[in-house]
Amino acid sequence: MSAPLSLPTLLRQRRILLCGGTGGVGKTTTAAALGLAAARLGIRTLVLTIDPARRLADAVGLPAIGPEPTRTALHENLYLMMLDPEASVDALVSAHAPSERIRETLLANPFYQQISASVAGSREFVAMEQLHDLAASDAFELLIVDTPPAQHALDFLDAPERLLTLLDGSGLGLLLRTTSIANRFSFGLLGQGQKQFAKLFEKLTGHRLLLDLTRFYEVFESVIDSFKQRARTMQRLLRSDDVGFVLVLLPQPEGLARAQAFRKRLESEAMRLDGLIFNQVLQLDTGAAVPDAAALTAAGVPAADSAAVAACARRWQSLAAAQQAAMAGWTAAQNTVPIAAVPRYAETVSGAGGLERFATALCLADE
Amino acid sequence: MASHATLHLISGKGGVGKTYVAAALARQFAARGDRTLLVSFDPVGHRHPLFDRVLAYEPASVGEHLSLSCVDAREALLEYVRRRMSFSLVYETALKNPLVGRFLTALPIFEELMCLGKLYDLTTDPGSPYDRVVFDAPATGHCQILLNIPGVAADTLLAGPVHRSALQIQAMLQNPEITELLIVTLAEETPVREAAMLARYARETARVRVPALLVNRLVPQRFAGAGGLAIVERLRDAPMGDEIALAHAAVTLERSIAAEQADQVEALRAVIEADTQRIIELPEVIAEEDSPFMAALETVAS
Repeated sequence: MSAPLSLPTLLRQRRILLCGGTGGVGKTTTAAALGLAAARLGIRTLVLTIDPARRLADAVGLPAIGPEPTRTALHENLYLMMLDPEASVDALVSAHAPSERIRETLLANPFYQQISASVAGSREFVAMEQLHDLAASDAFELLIVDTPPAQHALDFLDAPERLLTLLDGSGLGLLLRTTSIANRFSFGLLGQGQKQFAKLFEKLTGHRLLLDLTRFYEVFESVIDSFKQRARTMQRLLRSDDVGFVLVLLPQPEGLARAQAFRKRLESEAMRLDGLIFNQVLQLDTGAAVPDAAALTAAGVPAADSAAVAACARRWQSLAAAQQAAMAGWTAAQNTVPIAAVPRYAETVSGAGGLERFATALCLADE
Repeated sequence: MASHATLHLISGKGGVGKTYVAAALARQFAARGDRTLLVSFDPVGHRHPLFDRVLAYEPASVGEHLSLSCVDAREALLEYVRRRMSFSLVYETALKNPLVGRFLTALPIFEELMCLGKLYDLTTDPGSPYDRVVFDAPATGHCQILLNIPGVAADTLLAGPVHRSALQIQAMLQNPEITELLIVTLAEETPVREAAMLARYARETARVRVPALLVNRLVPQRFAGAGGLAIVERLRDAPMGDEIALAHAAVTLERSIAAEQADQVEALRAVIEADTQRIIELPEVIAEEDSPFMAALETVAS
């Protein structure tokens, strides 16, 4: 991997920056702080988040984060919006249905109604659509996206494909359609295994579902092409030079293993990893000796507390040392330089100046 | 021992340490002599981070009385067909078709229902070799969908064996003698909010018993209050050597994190049902010194 771009350069060059990482690493806060850092560079920036954390709204001086871009009180160039949490397959179908009649038929289909609430990836698909529309407009120079936390790292990238596989009329949708009563004769066109499956499916789930499914796919076929086209456009956008990924991670061995899988996955998708941001890095002197009872007494610590103070110093120092080892190990193994390391602050970011401090720390390496 | 095993579902927001807590709980059951199976929701071939072993559908022994496996929708469907359908061989061939496989893994109701069906068999089968099944379940949002699946499936499929199975699975999940959901959280805003949401969903909609919420990775509260503040001030005002500076930084950090965490635990306490749900505080595990953690977890296992 070539030398990473400095963070300010990155913020100037990309049009979309995706903040990835597993849950609990502070991705949302990092996305907001990156947005503030960009805003300070004079870049009109919109941060898109999926997390409705009240503290984040507090930190940027907004009463709440809504579904429309809203200018923050923190900086005139910084806007925030929440990706629609209620976005559903309904919205997708409504957007892509070629006619009102088809839309109504689909939305009323019992099979559709049951699956639409639980289709994995539909929300991500809609989020990607929103992103695509925003990128196509000139309202903002930079979009920073707080990606959904994903167990398997990049599920949201799979979302369009997963959804298409499920809904695609050319796959089993076709198979099921051809097995409907009206079309029994076309059974002959199917392979043996597929015929058996259709029979099994009917046997397992009853005739009603098969009928619903069949009607579903009959109508859905008219929507699928528009869907596919959109998915392809999004896939292309993600691989363009305008788009970069930063990976947010905690400096812990477990986190690093997941991050490594994330990175491999990005590479296999021909997407660029612009850099790493280590979050919650402990700022403690790992070289200093832990004070003994005499030193603590001399400093005025009550004798009864000196053992606890020494234990506390030892505990946090050893945690800091473990973090440093983890970060060094990562850098050596991956030949990748982190673009930023943000300290673990004693105060939360929602406090006064919290996000400013975070944004400053992000760009510190370049000053 | 009852004729069935008990099912312990472990969920919580991503990154809160579900996998660690599930593994520790399973170990604790096993240490007491209960034959325990730890089931991961991660896919076949994924490495379990604590047992350092590649996950497989067939349980593998990872210690005395303790086995590890994972759920896999296609394997579970094959097994289901093998066990419950006549002419199963013919259908097995069909299910091995790649097109069929792709469709099934994309069809959410089926995939999740099959995983739950496997848990049902492991738990309620009179011939089950286990006393305890600990399921390292998906994160909160997905877990909510999972708990909802039997109901959805029963409504969608008005007849047939899958309809009957869905109702049986739902009955098992709602049976407080068999199933419990333990929700793991950190003492931080978002995980606490998600834990509270899942607890409410389990209680009001899914009707799954949630006896406890586990707050993980708590730092010690040894410098809370005025006494702690006085120590911070003494250290701050003392002539600064490296040693004292280290102690000052460490105590300051621990004090503020502990205060923040205490606020979040209070926030969680305010939204739970105090008479039926407990909050169990799990200390952050440092290196190999996990005895306080295990001691706290003991209250869940018993």
